[in-house]
Amino acid sequence: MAWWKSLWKNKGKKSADIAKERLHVMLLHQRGLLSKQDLESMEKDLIEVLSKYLDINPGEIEFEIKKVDEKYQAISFIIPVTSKK
Amino acid sequence: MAGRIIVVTSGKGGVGKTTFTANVGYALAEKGYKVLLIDGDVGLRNLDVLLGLERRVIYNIMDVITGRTELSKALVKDKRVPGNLFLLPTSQTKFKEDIPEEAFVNIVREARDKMGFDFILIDSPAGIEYGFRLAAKPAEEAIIVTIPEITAIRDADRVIGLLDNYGIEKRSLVVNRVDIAEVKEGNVLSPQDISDELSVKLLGIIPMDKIVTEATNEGKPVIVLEKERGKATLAGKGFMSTAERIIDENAPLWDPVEEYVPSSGGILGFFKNLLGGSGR
Repeated sequence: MAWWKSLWKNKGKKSADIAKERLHVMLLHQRGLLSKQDLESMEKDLIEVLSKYLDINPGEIEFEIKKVDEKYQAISFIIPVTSKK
Repeated sequence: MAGRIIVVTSGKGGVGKTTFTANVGYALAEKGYKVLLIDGDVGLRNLDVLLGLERRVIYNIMDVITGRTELSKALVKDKRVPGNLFLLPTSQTKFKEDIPEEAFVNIVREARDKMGFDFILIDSPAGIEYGFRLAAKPAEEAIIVTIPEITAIRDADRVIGLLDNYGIEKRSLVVNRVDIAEVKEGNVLSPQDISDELSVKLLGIIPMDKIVTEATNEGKPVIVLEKERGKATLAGKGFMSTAERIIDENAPLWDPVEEYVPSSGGILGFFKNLLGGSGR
């Protein structure tokens, strides 16, 4: 993610909230629930599929993992679309 | 009730594990329980210093293991709580690897089964190597100490994962050095959030407080120093209420974040606000 984008993304967010999000992802990796490798190949697969239909700039993909409740995590990918193919 | 063997651990160093062990151990002793503190940081002796007992150490755990003395003679008695608080110092000259796991377990069991200790707190060294494994081996419960910084919390999570290997299922979390005003401002992770992320029950919160350094300087537990001064402190309250929750897990959690009222009144508050609201 470009630095200016992460600045923009985090604008207005409290420092503790940023820490919480970063920590959450770190702990998921550490516990082996979602490895960095898995996440990366998931990204690649998504790009591959979506590229069939849309113009995508892979460098701009962002993801977010949030705890929904005790049992579930939600992963969201934000994929900026340039145009329809 | 059989005595409880608790390992105090953190993963990351410098989060206040030993300070916590000394202060909460003292609080438990003051409440009438017979408490043994074991310094598990072989080679880097500190627990005796925090309690101001460094000049009274004669024997250490190595002397017990090699048979130079009996366990009961190696224990340093804290005369401020006579008959209740004892310290088993570690060796400063040996290495962790010099202590065999089995010998260490036997010493801890002997203390519980033959000497009638109610609580045995083992202060684990930082890291996840042999020293940590040694400290965790005889334990049946674990207290994980951390501070509100993501590096420390991440390391705490690593240690929690390793506790599975020792069958230590009873775990609880202490968040140390919490700047309450900064938590309120949203600049510091809250103890509750940390507990949620780690999925470990929150046992206690110790607010950041300058009395902790002063107490260390003087070799006195915080609750001793505050009594001398005749003035209660936030850290003292944190240690005391944590001790109460160790004794009785249904005792209420003291949450200084919820209780916090910003100090805005008075000329001092005015100047603090003037200086960018960094008043603590």
